[in-house]
Amino acid sequence: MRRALWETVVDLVGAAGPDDRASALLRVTSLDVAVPIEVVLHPTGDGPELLGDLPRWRWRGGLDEEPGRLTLHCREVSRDDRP
Amino acid sequence: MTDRDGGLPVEQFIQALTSQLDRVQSTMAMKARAGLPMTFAVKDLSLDLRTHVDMAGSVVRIRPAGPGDADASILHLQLTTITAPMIQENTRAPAADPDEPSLQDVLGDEEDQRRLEWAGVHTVSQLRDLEREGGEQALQRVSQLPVARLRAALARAAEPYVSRVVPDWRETGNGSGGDATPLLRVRGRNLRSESMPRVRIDGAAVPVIMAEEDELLVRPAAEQLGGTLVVETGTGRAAAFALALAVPGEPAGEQAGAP
Repeated sequence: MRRALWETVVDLVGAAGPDDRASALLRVTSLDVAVPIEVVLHPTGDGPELLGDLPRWRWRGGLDEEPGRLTLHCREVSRDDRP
Repeated sequence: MTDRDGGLPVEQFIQALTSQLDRVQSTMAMKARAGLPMTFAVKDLSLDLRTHVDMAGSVVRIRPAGPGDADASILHLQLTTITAPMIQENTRAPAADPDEPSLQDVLGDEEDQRRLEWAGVHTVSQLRDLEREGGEQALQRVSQLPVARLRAALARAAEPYVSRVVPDWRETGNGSGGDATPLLRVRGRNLRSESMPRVRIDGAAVPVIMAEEDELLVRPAAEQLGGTLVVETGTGRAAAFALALAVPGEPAGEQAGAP
């Protein structure tokens, strides 16, 4: 079962986000992620929902579709400066 | 891209994508409010997809490339976050007249309404303006709705409608009111076209003193303060209103009709 794209993005960004253990030492202030992604539009009652998840298989077979590529650029902001 | 794939219009795909990204931002904002003072925000996102791009009339459709498909196109979408002032700068305020029918009323179909809203048309006034500026064909291209349905919607939007009738004692020539018959201010929309509208109450003609798009001033006879008021515009369209004002000498107020 593929996840919705928003869940995948939140998990990817959340995994590298600031935490209180690292806040006094070196910290990650920006993050660029480029990952292969399988995208499917899933029909729902409220219109199509975009599912986007990492490829299910590490090695692609001849019948598997080629995944797309998702690139994220994130940077650290204060809570009050969030978009 | 879709499970049963004939492809889908590119704007539907973009709509689905942006709704996912809105969800990302709102979820991360929620996590930030509950947690640390510093947090990550997604500033830019790009997505490359191998697709085939087809044109069906004015509709650009995309469908996923198959395995080993060497002739596929690359759809490269790049999105960035924007601020509230940027949204306001690039958004036309939907200034709907309070007496104006809603898009849903004139279209009668939620899917048609959604298509127009995707095209940036949120009010009947915007629909009319677009039709006036670009013609039906342009409207069809932008909204991807058949011309016949747009034409029917515009015709419904152009129908006269009476929302309320207000007695006006000031214009009777008798400033104190007294036993004079009041003039009537008939308010609504599309109440005149190129020529003066005709007004009748229970079939008898009522002189029209002034006619505007949203208001008529008419001079009824004393016995014409009740009955069915019909406004017929120059286009042959008509609107009816059940009139029941107080007779002269009794307190009379404004009468509103059902929307």
